[in-house]
Amino acid sequence: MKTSKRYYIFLFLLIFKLNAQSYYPAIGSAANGLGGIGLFSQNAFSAANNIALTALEKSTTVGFAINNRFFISDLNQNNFCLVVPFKKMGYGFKFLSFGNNVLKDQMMGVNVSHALNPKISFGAGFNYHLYSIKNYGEFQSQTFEFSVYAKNSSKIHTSFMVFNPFSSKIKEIKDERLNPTVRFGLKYLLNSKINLVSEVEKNATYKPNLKLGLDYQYSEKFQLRCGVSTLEPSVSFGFGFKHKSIKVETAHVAHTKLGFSHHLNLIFQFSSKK
Amino acid sequence: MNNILLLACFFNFLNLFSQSIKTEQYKFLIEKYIENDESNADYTDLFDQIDYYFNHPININNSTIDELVKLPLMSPQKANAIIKHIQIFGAMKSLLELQVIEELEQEYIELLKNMVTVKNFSISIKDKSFWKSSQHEFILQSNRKLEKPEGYSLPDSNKNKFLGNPFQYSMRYRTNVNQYLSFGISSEKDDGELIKNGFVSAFVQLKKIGRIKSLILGDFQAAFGQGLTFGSGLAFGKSPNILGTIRFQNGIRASRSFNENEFLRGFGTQLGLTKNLDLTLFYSSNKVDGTLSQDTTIQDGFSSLINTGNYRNNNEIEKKDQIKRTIMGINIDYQFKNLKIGFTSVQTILDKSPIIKTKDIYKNFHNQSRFTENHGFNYKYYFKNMVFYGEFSSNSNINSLSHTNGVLISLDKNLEINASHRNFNKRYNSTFTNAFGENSENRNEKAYYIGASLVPLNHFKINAYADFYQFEWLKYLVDAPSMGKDLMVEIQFQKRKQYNWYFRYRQETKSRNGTIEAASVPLIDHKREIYRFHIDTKISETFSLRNRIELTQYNIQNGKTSTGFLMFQDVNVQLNNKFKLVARYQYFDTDDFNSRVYAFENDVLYTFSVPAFQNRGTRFYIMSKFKLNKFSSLWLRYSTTSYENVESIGNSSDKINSSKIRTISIQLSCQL
Repeated sequence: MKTSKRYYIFLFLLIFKLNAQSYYPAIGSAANGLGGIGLFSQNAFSAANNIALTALEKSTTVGFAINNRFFISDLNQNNFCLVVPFKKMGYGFKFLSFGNNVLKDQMMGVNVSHALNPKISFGAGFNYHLYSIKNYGEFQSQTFEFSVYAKNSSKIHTSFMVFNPFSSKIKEIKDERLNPTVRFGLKYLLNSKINLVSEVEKNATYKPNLKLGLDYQYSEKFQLRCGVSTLEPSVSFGFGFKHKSIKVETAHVAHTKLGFSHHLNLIFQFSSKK
Repeated sequence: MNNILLLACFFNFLNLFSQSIKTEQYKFLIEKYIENDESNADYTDLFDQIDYYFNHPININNSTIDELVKLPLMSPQKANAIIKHIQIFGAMKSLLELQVIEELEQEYIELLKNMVTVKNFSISIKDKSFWKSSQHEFILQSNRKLEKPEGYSLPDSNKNKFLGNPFQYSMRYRTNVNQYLSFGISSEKDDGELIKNGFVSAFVQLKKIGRIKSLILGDFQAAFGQGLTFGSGLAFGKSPNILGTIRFQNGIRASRSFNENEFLRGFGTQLGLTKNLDLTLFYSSNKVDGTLSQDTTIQDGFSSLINTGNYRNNNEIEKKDQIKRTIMGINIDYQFKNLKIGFTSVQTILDKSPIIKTKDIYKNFHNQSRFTENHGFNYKYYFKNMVFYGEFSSNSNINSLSHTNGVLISLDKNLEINASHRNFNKRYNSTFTNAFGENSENRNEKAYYIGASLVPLNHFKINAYADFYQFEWLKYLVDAPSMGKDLMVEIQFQKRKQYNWYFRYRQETKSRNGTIEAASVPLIDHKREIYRFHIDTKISETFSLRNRIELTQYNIQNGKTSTGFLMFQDVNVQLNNKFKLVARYQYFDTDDFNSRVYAFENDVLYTFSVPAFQNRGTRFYIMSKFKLNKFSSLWLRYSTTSYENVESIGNSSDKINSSKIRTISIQLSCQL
């Protein structure tokens, strides 16, 4: 029993390790195509990547995203996000699920954001985490997050977010806490088609991760993007295709040692205006 | 807006509107000065200097270049441009004329308008309004840490037991009657101290009465020339502001600081003997803290001076007021057209002798006498677009001759260069010096410094400096002559009404012993590199944001590299004139003490701090200011620092058995 306990604890910690290129990694193809920069991708996955952006969304949006890492099906992640804007407020919901039936890391979260004026919005969210390991049991935790999004000028936008600012405890494991993650990003709108984005992410377990990305709106329907992430060196690229209310996006991330990860998502934007 | 400001200034600068503008301008100025300072100095002196100009703007039409360059952030080039403009076009009728002077940026004009005027405010004591126009300021403040250090729970018999309560209290009162009379009294009790061991400071100052330019009774500071012969009080070192290395302040000024040892107590006067000749005399006598020598064969000796100002337990109280220090000084300044020269002579007498332990070889040349004499000559010469400045000083023994010389050149309206050389003799000893240098004391240092400030494009500015220094004698933990260098480059973008950002790289390399335990030669290099990105944004009249990312890397030659990281988000909310709120969330993560990170923090009025952070954790503070009525404001502040990887904070009797420190502060300020 002792051996198996150790084994499962090891597996449990492995979840963090696998996610922890950036624990609580960017969700959706747009963010992953930009080197993992999620602070500036305004879409359904704002509910997971940057909750302050949800107030800036113009209509209700829903998104499904899947990803596969290094061609190992056990490392698949499925995500569902919903953003409902109402007047100056934005409401978001997310459900993220990672792993297989032996080992699973699930997170469900709700958030609310408020655009105080067209230049600034704040967001706050609450998340419930459930980690389950077959034949061993479940672990639970709750985390908070908050973020700020600012349009500093017509050319520069910045954003700051903190995930788990109070280092939440994991209920079933004594003295085990989830580390906070902080992110700061800067977006430069070079022209109407090209955006340059950057982000610094820091989690207690890792050194700062600098990410850079370029987003190119080739046409109204087609979008190209690429990026790099420096902590665990990886390059990424991605495409987006929009037809009426539906947007399909892909992203491909090449890790220098571990190989490729692939991301695919579908976003549906309801036509009801804010 | 400008007219309103002028009118506000004319009516004694005391209405609400000007107060709120002033506070913001103060904040900008003070942050500009201290954001790079890691000394944790008491910045009240600086606040007072700025405060003085805000309350007593100088008449720009009859000021000399030497008077103008004393204004905060004023460069000789800007001062020269103002004087030239007045010479060509005649006296200014309105401060709006500043807009046409090419050398003054819009941002600086906004600031300058608070510190200069085009009108004379002279008022006679016979005028009925003389006493009515006096200003009074009264501030009560208290703070405490919610987690008590171990010093409070020690048994009464333990000499480290804290005797007082955990509250810190302070009180300040100051009044200015026009620009002629000032009076101030301040008192403070630190946390853990008994009230009877607190600190009290007071002064009375008369100004501009006949030949008396200034007369101070009580506590004061004095600085002359470049501060090499004598300079007490706050002075700044290397920073992106390349003018900060030049000392423009001269003479005596009242002290309201809570620094309990670094001040003069007695009297000082500055007399204008003729239009061009000033004489300053001062005398100070007070007791300072120190550790008396344990060597019974030596009578009346002390091993070190102590500057903490803490008297919380019997151990600390034993060291209080142990050494009597008497200082007498004279300074003569002569100004002839663009040349200003000064002679300073100061004598310090201690009632006990400093004792240097034989094992402390690095202190071989430190003063071991009760008497110290300092004599010096300083100069400043304004020639076209250049300012030459410097000072020569020595003790009574000419072998101790030290000097610092430099030139500030404005090659173009967009390019300023400041170059200086300093040679501080290892034998040079002084009581108070604050000339620009690498060491905290001006001794044992030879160096070349060059700084440049360039405006390559609209809104962009590049500041850079390089400082190469060597120490010909040993230093603490450096058992051989050593060298070092500091390099810095900063790219700034400023659009003050909207946002500004800067990126800064700084590198510092110094030699140290290979190991701390034993002397070791050869020395090894310790290199510290700091990368910082900072952005300030004014989103609207209500909201402003501030973000910073900083990375520090500390490398020991042939050894490990440690890393420090800091990121913060500030949110400022100014709802109306009555309510203001500032909040910060900060994350920091450092490998060790060497890679510690610093960040300036907003605090209640007159309190500024640049705390250092090490280990890993988060810091959060929230501060609010309520304007209770026309005259008074209430400040509340709560801060908490939570560490993730430590179980206790501090050591000895300051040790807190918690991974969290929370502090609350409250302040009430009244301005009449």
